[in-house]
Amino acid sequence: MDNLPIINNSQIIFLFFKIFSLVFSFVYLVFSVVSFQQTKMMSKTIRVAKSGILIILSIIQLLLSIFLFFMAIFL
Amino acid sequence: MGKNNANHQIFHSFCLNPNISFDGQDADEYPILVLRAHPVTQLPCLFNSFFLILFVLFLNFFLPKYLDFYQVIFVNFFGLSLTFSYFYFNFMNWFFNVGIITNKRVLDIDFYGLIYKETTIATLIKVEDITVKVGGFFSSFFDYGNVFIQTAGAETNIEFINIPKPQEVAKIINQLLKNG
Repeated sequence: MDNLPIINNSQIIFLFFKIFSLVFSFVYLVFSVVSFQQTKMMSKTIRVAKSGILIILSIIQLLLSIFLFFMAIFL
Repeated sequence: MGKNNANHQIFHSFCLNPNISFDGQDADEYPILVLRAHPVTQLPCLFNSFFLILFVLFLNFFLPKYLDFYQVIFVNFFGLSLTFSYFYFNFMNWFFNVGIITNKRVLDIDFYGLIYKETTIATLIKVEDITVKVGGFFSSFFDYGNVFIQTAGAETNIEFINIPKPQEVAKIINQLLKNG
């Protein structure tokens, strides 16, 4: 028993947070990619004058999710 | 009714002669009316987004006790990004779920979630019956409701849900039927 590594509360919180942030940021990244593809498909189905704005918004969302994923890796 | 003089009313939920085109549009076909759900029906999404932002900000009172600075920044960033995505997703659902009435056909284009798309089309000749349903306090106050278009034969019926000015929509379709 004496040889077991001692894990304190802050390490447990850190480990839990790391797993949580990695899993959820990855799910968010997948969602953003699907959302981006869907936006492109919707814009092709119904062509409106300012559909470019919607595609830009979906790109912003995608960039945010990529940033979050890398933030979670290096946290 | 011509191709020009676009008239967008009620935050683009009732657009007369709009300048849009859609998949499968014929060369001699042009949209006369484009319908989306009344903006009032999207208010719950706005409120939810607002409360999500408040919730994320509220978390800042407790998180610094358990997490370090960069983790708190991550939680804030993640929460606000999720709120943005929630709002954006609902907006996209509202914007692209449209009913289109052209000089030749009636179309109902629906997107469910992120991966499912449904398009119902009926030619104006096949339209048999139009039913308008308005019920409830908000529907009567803001003048929105449902329009059900029954078609002949085995063709699928078309439903426009929570659209503004349902009576006027029925009137426009009737006018097109008479002219056609």
